[in-house]
Amino acid sequence: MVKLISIGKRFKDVQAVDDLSFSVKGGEIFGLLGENGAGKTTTLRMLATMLKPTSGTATICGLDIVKQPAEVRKHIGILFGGEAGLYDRLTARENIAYFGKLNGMDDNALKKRIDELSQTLDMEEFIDRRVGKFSKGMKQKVTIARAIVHDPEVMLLDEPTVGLDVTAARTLQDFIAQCRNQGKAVIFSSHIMSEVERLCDRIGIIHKGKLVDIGTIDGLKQQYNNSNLEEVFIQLIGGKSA
Amino acid sequence: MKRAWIVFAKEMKDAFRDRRTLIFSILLPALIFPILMTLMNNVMSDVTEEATENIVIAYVGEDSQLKAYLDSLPNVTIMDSQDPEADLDGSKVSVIVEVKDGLDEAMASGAKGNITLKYDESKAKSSMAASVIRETINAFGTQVARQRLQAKGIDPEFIEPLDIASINVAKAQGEGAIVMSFLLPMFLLLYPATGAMATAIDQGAGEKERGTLEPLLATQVSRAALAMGKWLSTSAASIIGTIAFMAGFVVAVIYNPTMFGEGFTASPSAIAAITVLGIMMAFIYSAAMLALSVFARNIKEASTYLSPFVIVAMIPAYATMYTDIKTVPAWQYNVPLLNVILIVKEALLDTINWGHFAITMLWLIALTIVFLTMVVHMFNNESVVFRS
Repeated sequence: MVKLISIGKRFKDVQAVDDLSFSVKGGEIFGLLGENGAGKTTTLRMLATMLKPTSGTATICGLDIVKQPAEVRKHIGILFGGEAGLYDRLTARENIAYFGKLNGMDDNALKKRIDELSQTLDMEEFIDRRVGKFSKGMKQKVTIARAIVHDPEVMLLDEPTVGLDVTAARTLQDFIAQCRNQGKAVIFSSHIMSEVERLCDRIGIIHKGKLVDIGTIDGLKQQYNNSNLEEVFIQLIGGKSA
Repeated sequence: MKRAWIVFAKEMKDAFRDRRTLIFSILLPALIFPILMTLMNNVMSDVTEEATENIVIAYVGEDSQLKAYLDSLPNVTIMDSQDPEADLDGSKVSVIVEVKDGLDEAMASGAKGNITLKYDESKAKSSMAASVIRETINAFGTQVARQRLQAKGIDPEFIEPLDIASINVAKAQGEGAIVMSFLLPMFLLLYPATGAMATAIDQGAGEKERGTLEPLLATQVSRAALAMGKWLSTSAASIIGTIAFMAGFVVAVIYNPTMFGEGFTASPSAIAAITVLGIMMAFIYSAAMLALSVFARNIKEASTYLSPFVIVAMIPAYATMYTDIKTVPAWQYNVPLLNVILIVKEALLDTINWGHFAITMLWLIALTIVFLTMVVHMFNNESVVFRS
């Protein structure tokens, strides 16, 4: 469903992402692991068509992100950063509806969908209140609903649990698992090993813009003969940088 | 186009729920003129009344007919002052009238009398009183002159060989039109700018600061539709703000018709032309401000970029304050903003040149398109979107 083909991004004299190739199937959660500045966000932003690759490309649902960015956007939902922005003066419903409408949904379908999401995410109590005074957890639910209101096949999540408390992070992890059950392809970046171990079917470790290794968690553990993913990770990026 | 409408509807809802925007772009503009004028009027009439209706003076010198004359006037009080200079300094008296000894004799013998007026130019009350006293003493002098002529058997008319009558033939409808030909162009340049500012900042830099720009751009809305929706809602805010200002101004003028002089009227075609220009100003400002706001990193930076608009708008208004609209060289109609002012001046004199109007409109439309294109390009430009 998602295929990266030697994708790269250069900002002036910094090669942020270098020749990245891998693919993610529907119903799979792919974890992008790396230190801060390793190129995770840049990779996800390229997939989201927010940044243009300087070399290579990627396809989402068979559509080229460079040649058909507008078409690609139909199929993706993004959740970037722990505390994604909302319009404080609009209600939760209005915030979600705005994005639904911009994604071409009609009023009936939208209402049905928001009611459904509000139920699954347990937002019924505050769905018609203005989001300005919401807690972080409540806002998090609204941003999740906003990201999937148009039922995209591919979810791109950039460190979605950063800055969230335990309960809110858990809500999000449940949501990610649910996406897999619905057959969506999920790519999410993180540097929290426990979260990655619990959720991901496969992981790719990137360091200084390059893919260091890729595989299932168990596969990588076996390959490097270490039962601790964190140590595998340190060994991989440490080995490269030393 | 449908998506542009979605963006427009959302932005309008958002703006109207913002109490700060409502107060600063509608309520305050509507109230500022009525309040300002009521205050100015009260203060001014107080000062004028005090300075001319009850003038306290000090008289220095021997008693004279002049002193008796001043004393007889209902609006003049002569204070018995020990130290007139100190009293003038302390505002106890407004004017000191100093008379040289022998004034009465001089008057009787046909010689010149010497009088000195001392007043304080830095005090409004004193300088206003001084001019009243000067006129009063001149009137007294004229009276003496007439008596002297009559004593010699000469008709006082004899020394006034000319009678000058002035008739103003200007097409303008009274002094109101002159004041309006300065004020109205300035309003037209200023208010659409102030009206658009808060909304433009919120819709460009505000999206970045809230972190909503990226998710917004990741939806299926086209950059053109997004720019269009934001531009139209900023324009609407600008027009509403301008209407609020103008309404306040009209109320103030009705309430206090003598403020700008009377006799101002405008023809329907002039009103139509001015209205169209006002709307065009809203369009062009909104596009330009949005472009800068989208470029800005955050709300604070956007405010810095947008505040000079108000000053820039005032420059052509002040520069053309004394322009004679009939002798303006043609090239000036190709200078944006300046040409708007010139057309408004034409409209107020009811001498609109529709060729000039067309050139002005073309410039405004062209620039609006340029700014809008810039907005679209910036939404497409990753280094602007992620500028931080």
